[in-house]
Amino acid sequence: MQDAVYEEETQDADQLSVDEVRETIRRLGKGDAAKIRQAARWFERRCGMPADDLMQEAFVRMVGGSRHVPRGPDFVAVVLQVIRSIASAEIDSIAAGQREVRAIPNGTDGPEMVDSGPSPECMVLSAHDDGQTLAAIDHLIEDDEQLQFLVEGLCDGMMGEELEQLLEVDTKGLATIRKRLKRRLLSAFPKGREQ
Amino acid sequence: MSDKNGCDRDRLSLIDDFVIETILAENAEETEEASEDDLTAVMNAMDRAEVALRKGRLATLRKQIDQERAVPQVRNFDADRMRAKLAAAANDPGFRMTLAARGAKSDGDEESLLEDLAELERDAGDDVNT
Repeated sequence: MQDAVYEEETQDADQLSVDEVRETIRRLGKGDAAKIRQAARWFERRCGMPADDLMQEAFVRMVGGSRHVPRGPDFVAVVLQVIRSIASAEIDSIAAGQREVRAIPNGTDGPEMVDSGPSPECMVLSAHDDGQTLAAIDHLIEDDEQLQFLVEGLCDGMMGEELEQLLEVDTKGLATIRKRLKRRLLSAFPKGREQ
Repeated sequence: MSDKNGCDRDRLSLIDDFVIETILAENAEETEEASEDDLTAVMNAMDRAEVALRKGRLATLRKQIDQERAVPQVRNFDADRMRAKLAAAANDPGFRMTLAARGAKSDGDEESLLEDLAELERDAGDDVNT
């Protein structure tokens, strides 16, 4: 059974062994778990794969050894990048027509109810392509000019001081606005699609 | 449209970067909505991942067993030659052989031993050839 697909133990000292990966995941605290779950929920909206499945698949790859994990303090960052990578592949599959775009159960709009129009949150979730997703994000922040500028700046690749100049705020002010945008984006569906 | 889609993809990728950076930048203590639920959800995902990995390993093992079973067994062999070889081995006190093998009495025992011997001979031949 030497050629088993799973448990490919790495001999590289710069990388965690699968046992170390397993132990590190089991030792995660609430704060780190919240970060992983927040990211999984964000990418759930982006790719339609449930957050729980994204986390599970990320752990399968990391503990199974198909995704090597560098030794160091950025374990949670690696988990987030693996989740992003899975979501990205899923988005590509949807774009290539290899995945069905699933209906979005939001718990309120049933077929028997008169729909007064989709909420911005629902638009984010149901966006079939990148343009729709961006339009939904624009809709989410249409009442906040600073957030609109921030999104524009981010999409133009601006960072740090450039963003501060664009928004006419200092570093602390930028941090506050960034936090507000993050909260707005992530709170669209705080409980994730499945709830 | 494809250019627009490419541009949209880049813009979304930058927003993804922003979301990840902002999540990671928070201190664990100030992570919003950090709760026991989050930890439970992550650990449940890990539990399911470990089950999926075990199922994967099981599937791999099953596949290998199926493949091994699919390899044709040694059925046609020179029984007299194998019997002579077995008898010679049984009579050789220096040859390491179990008592059960030396004393194989029933037809089934003997046939099984002869088959094993033929298979060993074939495998040894394979080794020599490789």
